[in-house]
Amino acid sequence: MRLIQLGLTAFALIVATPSVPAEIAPDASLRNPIGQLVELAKNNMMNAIDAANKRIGYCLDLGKATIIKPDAIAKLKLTTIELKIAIFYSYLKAEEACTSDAVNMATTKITMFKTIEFEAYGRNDPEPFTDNNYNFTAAEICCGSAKIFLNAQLNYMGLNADKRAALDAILELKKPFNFFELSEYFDPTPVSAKP
Amino acid sequence: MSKCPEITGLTFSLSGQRAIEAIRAKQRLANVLAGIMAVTPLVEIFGGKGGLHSPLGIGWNIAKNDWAEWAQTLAAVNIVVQREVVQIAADEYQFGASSGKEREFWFAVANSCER
Repeated sequence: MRLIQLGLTAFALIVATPSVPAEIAPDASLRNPIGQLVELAKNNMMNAIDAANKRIGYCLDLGKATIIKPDAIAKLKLTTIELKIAIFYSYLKAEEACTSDAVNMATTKITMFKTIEFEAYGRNDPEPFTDNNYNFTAAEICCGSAKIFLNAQLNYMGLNADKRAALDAILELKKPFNFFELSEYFDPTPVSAKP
Repeated sequence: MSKCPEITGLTFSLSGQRAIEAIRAKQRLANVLAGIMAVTPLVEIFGGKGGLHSPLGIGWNIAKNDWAEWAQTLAAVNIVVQREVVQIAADEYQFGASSGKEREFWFAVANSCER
């Protein structure tokens, strides 16, 4: 009887003890060849660049198609130069917000690819990656117009804090809008410029 | 403002010249421009290696049709470069242009003939 009880206890312990599934067992075969990691990183990067391109195109198109009413900005009684600064920075910021998720992912995946590629091959990449559709640096994707953006931001930061707060509260300026249409409303190009 | 303007006697301010140099430096755009056989003012301005004085010394004359070709050129380059060119043009339009003609030029660089 005692033997049967011991046998049952042992059986119960075996059943209750979680076994390590074969798929997560430590195994040298889970360390994939670095060449495969490079390929995976390359695919990830290409997918992310495609997604960023699509998103940037979407945001540019959205901006062109979105004509916003000037009323909310006109109420703020900004000077001509304040208006120019406010509209330009809002335009860049709205576009950045629209594209940032996809652009950030692309820059991450580009950097990850470059990192693993360097780890795999050092500076002697046996097959340089030359596909022009994907041969971007992270800087190209994210920051081609860095100087323009930062200059616009610095000018905007020079505006009075109350005016900035009022501008930041205008919801229409937070999504891509037609910058040229809005600017032209406040500061039309002189008729003399036209042929 | 017409988005497909005919502009005559256009000259560039120093700021405009710097902006054009920045656009010329975009290699992907330069590659597309290098493949265009026709010599139009816009190809010369953005694809040229020389200075930015017009051949006649009296300013650039840009016809309506030139903008249509520019739109095709811009559409042929990657969207990342398109975005940069539009932002440079917007910056010049807003802050750099020293004349109405120059301002109209940058407006059209960004918008071409779209309506």
